[in-house]
Amino acid sequence: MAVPVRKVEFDVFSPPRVKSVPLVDRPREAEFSWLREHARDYAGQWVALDGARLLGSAMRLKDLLAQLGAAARQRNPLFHRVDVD
Amino acid sequence: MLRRSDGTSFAASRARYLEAAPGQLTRRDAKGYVRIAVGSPTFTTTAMLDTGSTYSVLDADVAEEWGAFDEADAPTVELATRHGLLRGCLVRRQVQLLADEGESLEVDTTFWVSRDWQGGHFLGYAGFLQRIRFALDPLTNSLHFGAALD
Repeated sequence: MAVPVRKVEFDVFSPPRVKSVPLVDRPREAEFSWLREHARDYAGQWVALDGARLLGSAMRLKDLLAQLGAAARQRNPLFHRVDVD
Repeated sequence: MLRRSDGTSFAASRARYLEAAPGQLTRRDAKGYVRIAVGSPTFTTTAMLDTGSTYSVLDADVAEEWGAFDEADAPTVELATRHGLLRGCLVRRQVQLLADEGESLEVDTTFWVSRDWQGGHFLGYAGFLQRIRFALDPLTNSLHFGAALD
């Protein structure tokens, strides 16, 4: 008799798996400087920054991603949701 | 690289962190924000280090983009947040803690996600920070970190 194969999902309660990967982010001081200067104008919104340049903003991340398109995503902008507190 | 007094390596990577949320730096509150890569395809965003948090947390918008709310069998958990008691679920995702020097860390771990949480990402102690090696240098806003076996 064939035994049905049971798919075992990864247990959310199991320990994390950690490994080093050869990846370094570029300096983001320009992005953070922009946020210091302008974030208050975008409270509650997601912003995408490439250096000191605002690529786009939206209340929902999916709208911002659609707004940016693939070319802008390839520039690896910094995404941040500006807090409203 | 951060070394112990006997010369052995403690942590091989370093990342600048911010003492307050980007955009709120005038608050000077005692928080540290680092950069992480999340999603598929990945993108770079900020997350708060939170040694007092039981869970690591993903913002609802990122969780949605990442299909985290599509897992019908995910265990549900209530979490006390600054917006009150919220119900969410536990999902497994892989994020990268991004380095400025050395190597980044890829961490496959459990996150709490809720459609009602739109307050950013948190890297909690249990299941994340307790499984890596890290040290803070407040004089330079540097997070030194590495895998526990580095």
